[in-house]
Amino acid sequence: MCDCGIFSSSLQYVTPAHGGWGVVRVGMLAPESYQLFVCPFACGRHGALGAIKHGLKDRISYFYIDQSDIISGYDDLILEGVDELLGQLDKRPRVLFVFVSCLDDLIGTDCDAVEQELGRRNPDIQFRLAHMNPITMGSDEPPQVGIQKRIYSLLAKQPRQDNGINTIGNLVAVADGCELHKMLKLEGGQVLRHISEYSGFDEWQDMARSSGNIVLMPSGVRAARDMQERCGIPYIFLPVSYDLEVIAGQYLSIHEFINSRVCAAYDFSSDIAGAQAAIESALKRIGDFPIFIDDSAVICPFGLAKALNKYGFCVRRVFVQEVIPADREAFEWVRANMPDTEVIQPQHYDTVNFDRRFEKSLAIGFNAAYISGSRHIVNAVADEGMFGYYGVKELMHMMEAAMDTAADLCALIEDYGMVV
Amino acid sequence: MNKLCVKLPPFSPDYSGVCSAIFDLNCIAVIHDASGCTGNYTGYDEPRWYGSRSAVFCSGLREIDAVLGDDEKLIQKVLQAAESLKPDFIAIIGSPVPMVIGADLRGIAADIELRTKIPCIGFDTTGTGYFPDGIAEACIALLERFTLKTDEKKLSGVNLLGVTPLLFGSETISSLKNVLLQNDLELVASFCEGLTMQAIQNAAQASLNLVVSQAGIQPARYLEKKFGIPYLVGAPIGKKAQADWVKSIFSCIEEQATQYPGNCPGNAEILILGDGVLCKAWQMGLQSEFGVASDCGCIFGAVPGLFGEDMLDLDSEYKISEAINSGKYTAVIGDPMFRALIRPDTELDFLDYPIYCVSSKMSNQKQENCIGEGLNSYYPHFTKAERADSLGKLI
Repeated sequence: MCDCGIFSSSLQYVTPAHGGWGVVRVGMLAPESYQLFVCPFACGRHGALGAIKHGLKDRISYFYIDQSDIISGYDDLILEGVDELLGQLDKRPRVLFVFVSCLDDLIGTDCDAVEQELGRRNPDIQFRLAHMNPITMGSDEPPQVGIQKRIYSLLAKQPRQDNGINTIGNLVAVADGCELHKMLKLEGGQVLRHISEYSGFDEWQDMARSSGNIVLMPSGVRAARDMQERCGIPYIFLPVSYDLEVIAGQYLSIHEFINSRVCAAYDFSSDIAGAQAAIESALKRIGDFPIFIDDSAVICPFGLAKALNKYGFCVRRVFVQEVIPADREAFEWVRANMPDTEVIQPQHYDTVNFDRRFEKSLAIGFNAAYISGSRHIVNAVADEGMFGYYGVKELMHMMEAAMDTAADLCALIEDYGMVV
Repeated sequence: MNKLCVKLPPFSPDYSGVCSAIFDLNCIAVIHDASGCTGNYTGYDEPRWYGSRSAVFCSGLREIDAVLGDDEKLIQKVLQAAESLKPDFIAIIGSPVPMVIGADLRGIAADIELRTKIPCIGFDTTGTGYFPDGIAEACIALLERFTLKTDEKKLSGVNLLGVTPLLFGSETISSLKNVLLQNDLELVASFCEGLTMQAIQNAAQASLNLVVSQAGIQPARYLEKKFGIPYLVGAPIGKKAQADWVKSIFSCIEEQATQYPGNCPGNAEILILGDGVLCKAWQMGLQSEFGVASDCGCIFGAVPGLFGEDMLDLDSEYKISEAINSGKYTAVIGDPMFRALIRPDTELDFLDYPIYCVSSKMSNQKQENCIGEGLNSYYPHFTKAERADSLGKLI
């Protein structure tokens, strides 16, 4: 394994392929919500343009603060800004996220008091003071964790629970084709709920009636924990895996989690067979063609590297900025068992030399493709829509399809609309 | 209250201006931020980023470093990168958090320079100023640091000041440079597109500075004061305007005189939104080619040296909206994002002229090249197609 600057804290290079949803787009998942950013104008540019890209600009505004506001403190300005904004909106939102930026962490705005006063003035609106503060990356509440926590804090405890199961943390719903839906239906008639399926705030409260949360992304764990305490909804953390053995274990965990005593366990044999057939087909097509994986495509890139290696694929590079706890075990396995696989930090300053070009490769993820110049690219981002045997099958199909085309990476990146 | 911005995206900030200005140079540029500020620049303020090898980095500032004022962490990161990348110089660029904690970016730069023996410049950008401020600050710093004093003047040598992809499309920039070439003028240095270290060193050999956007005014004033080089403010938009511009270049060189564009009297019926100097150039082009009077809506604030009732300081969404919907104008020229400010009861035509510092890549439109005759082919199309009734006297 070549450890070129592996996991060092260096100046960070940002490729055009770097980024994801950003807190603006994540916050927009909350139905009938609006966002007001109170910050220097510069802090809002990427979020606003990202919102335009995704057709969300009509749900976000800015209240610019200048240096004198920062020196004086702007608690009162937030109140004025909200009043002014609400006076201009055609329709009052059900939820207003008031975002502050990194600098607010250092000047001590009394966010709780402001939130309380806003609620007192506008009892028909739920306010959440939110933070777009990447300065807290590495802490226990970075922006992606904080925004999910605030979104799900809007779900109120319901008097009765039903058969629903939520997925939390994942920004895109698990695809309809996934066997998880069928399993839940068979084992107690449960439906799988996801925030993106709701457009109305009141209807969205259905998620608070669910009897369990399956957390698919680490950034959703905190929100799920809060929901457990506040709404009495238990949770289970099952990061998306492409390893057949791990998936079998995850389904067993779900079976136990939903307490399915009365129903027969769902029979996964046809789903497993489908996944295995897809693996065989992809392996036949791809053979020992070099595969690069990056952490923009999947949450657990080492887990994927390990799985692909076990299936017989040739994983030559893993691009990872840092190892998350959920991927630590697989990372150790890769280090011990895949000595020829390079581990590269995509944001390391030496990336700018672009001396690792390797066109004849299949990249799973945009960053790996950009840095390596890969001709073939799997258009996958953050495990979106993936889970279980379906996820394996889907990924294999995508890998096979990618081998048949020379991808236009620039277009793929623009289409997705990455935001740092 | 002018702080609320409901429809428009925030415009490119000062730190993006600095990065954009030094993009072409073999340097290490470090934005001292957590990630979002760098993301603004690389994602939305730098059309040249994809496929480039420009070494612009994020410092990865974290809360604990800010609270403790741990500058050494930043310095060590820069030392490591400099050792590996061997830049000609290093830039340390401020953002909102360094502003709040009072980081001494110039002091940090001096420390880095002492340790690396590589020139290092600190920029006190804050994210509360617009990109022209950043470009101006970067240009002046480069000129102060690297431009050599000389007695050898190039009689037909000129510098371009204020050329930036944040305002000008690539075709526009090529045309601008071609105008100089076609008139036997030598481009000594192009601040800041296609800039080289050699050109910066030679900048004082120019006989005249051509200020084509407001970002170029302060550097021009610096060059006038330090090296005695006069400057001409304006850009050649329109056929006659181009001829006048070239004529002015030669007369300014001959007389060694600085020249600002004059006022354009008339009852304005068009509002031009954008950079003050460029708006002025559009205004003069429309006046000379089509006899149409217009007002300049300066969205980045007032322009030093350009005054008059036709120069409107529209530095907020509220002011821009009030101007657009004032009832005074029959047409507006500007970035397509400004269309969102037209109220339902306001009747006017809108000519799209996308600029990267406003809509970035979101306009999905290519900027038309309006240098010289470019205006004569672009604008009549607009007048004929959309404005024939309201402005029948044109064309």
